Amino acid sequence: MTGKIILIVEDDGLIALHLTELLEKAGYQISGPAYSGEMVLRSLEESTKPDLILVDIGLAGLLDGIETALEIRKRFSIPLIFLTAYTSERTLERMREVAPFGYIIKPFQERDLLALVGEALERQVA
Amino acid sequence: MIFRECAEVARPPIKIQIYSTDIDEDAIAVSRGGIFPANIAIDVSQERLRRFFIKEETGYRIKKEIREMVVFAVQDVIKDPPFTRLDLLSCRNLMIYFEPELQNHLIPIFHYALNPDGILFLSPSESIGRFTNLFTPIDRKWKFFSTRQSLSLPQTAGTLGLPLTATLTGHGTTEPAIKPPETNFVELTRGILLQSYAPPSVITNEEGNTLYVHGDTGNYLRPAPGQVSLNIVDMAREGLQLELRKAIHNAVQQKTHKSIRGVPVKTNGGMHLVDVTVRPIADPRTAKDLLIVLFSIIRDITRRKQTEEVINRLSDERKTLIDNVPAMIWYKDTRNNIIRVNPAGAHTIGLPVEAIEGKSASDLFPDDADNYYQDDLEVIRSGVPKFGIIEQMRTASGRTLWVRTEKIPLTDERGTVTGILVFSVDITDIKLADDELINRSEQIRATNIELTASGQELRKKERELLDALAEKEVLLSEIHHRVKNNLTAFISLLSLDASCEDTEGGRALRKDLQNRARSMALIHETLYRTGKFSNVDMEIYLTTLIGQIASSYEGSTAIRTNVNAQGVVLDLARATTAGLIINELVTNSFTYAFPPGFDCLAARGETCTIRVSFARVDGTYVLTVADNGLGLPAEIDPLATKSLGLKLVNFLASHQLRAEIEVWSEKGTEFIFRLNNINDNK
Repeated sequence: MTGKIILIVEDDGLIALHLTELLEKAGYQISGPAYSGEMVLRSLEESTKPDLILVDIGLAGLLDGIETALEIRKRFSIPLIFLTAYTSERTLERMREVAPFGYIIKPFQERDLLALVGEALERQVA
Repeated sequence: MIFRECAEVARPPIKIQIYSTDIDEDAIAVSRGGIFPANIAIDVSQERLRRFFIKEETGYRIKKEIREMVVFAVQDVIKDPPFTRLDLLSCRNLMIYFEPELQNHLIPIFHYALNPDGILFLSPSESIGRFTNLFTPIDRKWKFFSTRQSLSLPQTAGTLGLPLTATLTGHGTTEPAIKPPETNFVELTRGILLQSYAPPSVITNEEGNTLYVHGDTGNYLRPAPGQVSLNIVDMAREGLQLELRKAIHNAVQQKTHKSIRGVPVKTNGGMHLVDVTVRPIADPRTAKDLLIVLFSIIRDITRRKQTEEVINRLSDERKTLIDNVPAMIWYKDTRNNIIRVNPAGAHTIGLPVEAIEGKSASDLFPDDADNYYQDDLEVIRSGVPKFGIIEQMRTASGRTLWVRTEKIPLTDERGTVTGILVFSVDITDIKLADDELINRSEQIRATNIELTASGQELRKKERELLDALAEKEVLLSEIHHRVKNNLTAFISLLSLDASCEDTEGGRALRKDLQNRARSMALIHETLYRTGKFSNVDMEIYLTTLIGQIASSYEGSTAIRTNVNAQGVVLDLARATTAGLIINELVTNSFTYAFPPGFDCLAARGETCTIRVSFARVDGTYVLTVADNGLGLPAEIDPLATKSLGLKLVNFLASHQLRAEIEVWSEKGTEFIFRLNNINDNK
């Protein structure tokens, strides 16, 4: 629709593939998908800045999703949406520190995801 | 020499003692030397020279055996008392110098000095004068005379003043008779008594010069060392000289007898207590007094003296010991006063010995004396030593020492404690080290208790953890079982007729989905079968997976499968991904590699085969999935295809396994995946 760039950070291959197909079909341009925090930070320094970042909380590697998000927040003002399979109080509390645009719990309804993504990008434009 | 020669042949042998006297001391001294001029060789035979003399540079020295026969003494034959009981009296060429009056005085003295049957030997020009009643000529030419026995004393005898003359009675007889038997008996008795009971004694003049010696005086006198003297004081043995000199002096001054009682004298080889009496006696011939000195031993103290010496030596040794022992030794009375201290004690306190001895302990140790005294009192009351008292001691310079003290009671012969021997050793170093050790050991004990507590706590935690772990393992096993069952149920669900369109595409899709779900279900089954919950044994997993895929294809019996993943173990995430990839590729091979009409044997020279191998090569896992079938159609780029199967393979391999992919399509199809950073993932 708008050619907005969305960066996907998700280490599970199937989910990354699913998200990529889903959002491409919805008309977005997909950056990544990246599978680790380190990889995201490197790509943000090097390539075109995305308009939105989807981050899986349970990332493999040295940084988990929340730590990666904190690093991104420090350097860039790009809206974030968390993807998570965990909804413990502790996880939610840690997520709030980052102040993301929102979060989606896996497994998700494609409709909910697209709605949240669309809302985040519209808010940014406004 | 003649006497010696005669004595040797005499039977029975006779003992000879010669007294040789002169008025001149110098003459006596020369005589004592026993040295004769060389010209005696003219008169003395060679034989005698050889036998009795030693040839010296200046002449001949008489040998000891002859010299020792002679006692030399200074004597005035007129004034001094005579010798007695002589057998032979030789007085030659003396009287010729005297007036007749003096000669008449001498002859009776000679008679007195001689034994009965004694012989007087005069020179040829001398004679006995008128005293034919006293002597009988034996040889007129050589002037040998024999004494005549007489009851009478010579007329001068009474004037000799000798005490023993009193026993001789009778007077002035002219009877030329043989000595009467009773007189002989009296003489004999007198001699025996004298010999047996009269104490050794010496007659001296007032200066102490010896005139006459009676008896064995060897215990009291000896030849004066280093000088020729007959003075009794010079001759007195060690211990006697001072007292004797004093006694002689006093006796002469006060004209009365003086006694010395119990003088310790170093006698010949022993030690004796000696009594000495000095008694003045009148010499009627001169105005001068004579002295008689009488000796007697009252006790032999040789043993006592030796004992004393031993005691003195022991005492000296003990003092040396006490002065040098590197410990403090104090001798205290029963009222806390210090009587004695050894140098080590004084040195430790830092005061001179004199500043300590006689002081009260309270003055020296104001802080500690009371404590010391308590121990003293305990020892005094009990009479039992007290050992191992550990106490403090402050030195004069204010340093505080730790000492180990022993207190030993000292008692008198009645057993009453009269003092205390205190024996102290400075143990400051040891004590401080000991305290430090105790301190350390307490710290260690405390730490040890803490550690034990922590250890117990740890063991408790460990047990809890193990319990929890066991519980979790049960739960994990249960979960994997459930997941596998859910997927199996899902596969069954897909099998239901109405689950998909009954078209070729629909059936193919159903089969793909079932195979993909099965590859996942198998992972969970392998985990709980092998009892491991995070690592998948790929050999077991792949063998089962390939077997199940093969069985889902009809007519697949002609196609051989070959699996080798020995020793490869992957984490759950990568095992699942690898399982999906392998599932896609093996399914493709079964579906497309061996179309009807493709003759493996003809085209490849071998049976149709699908091969899966997983191996570790140089730290990198290498996965190979291959078949020897038709190969990929030329128009298909396996890395860019839109078909879901290969798209999945590409995406999963690069995104999740982070693998390099190689594809070969010459004699069939071969996919090679090299997995990087094998340890990079959880």
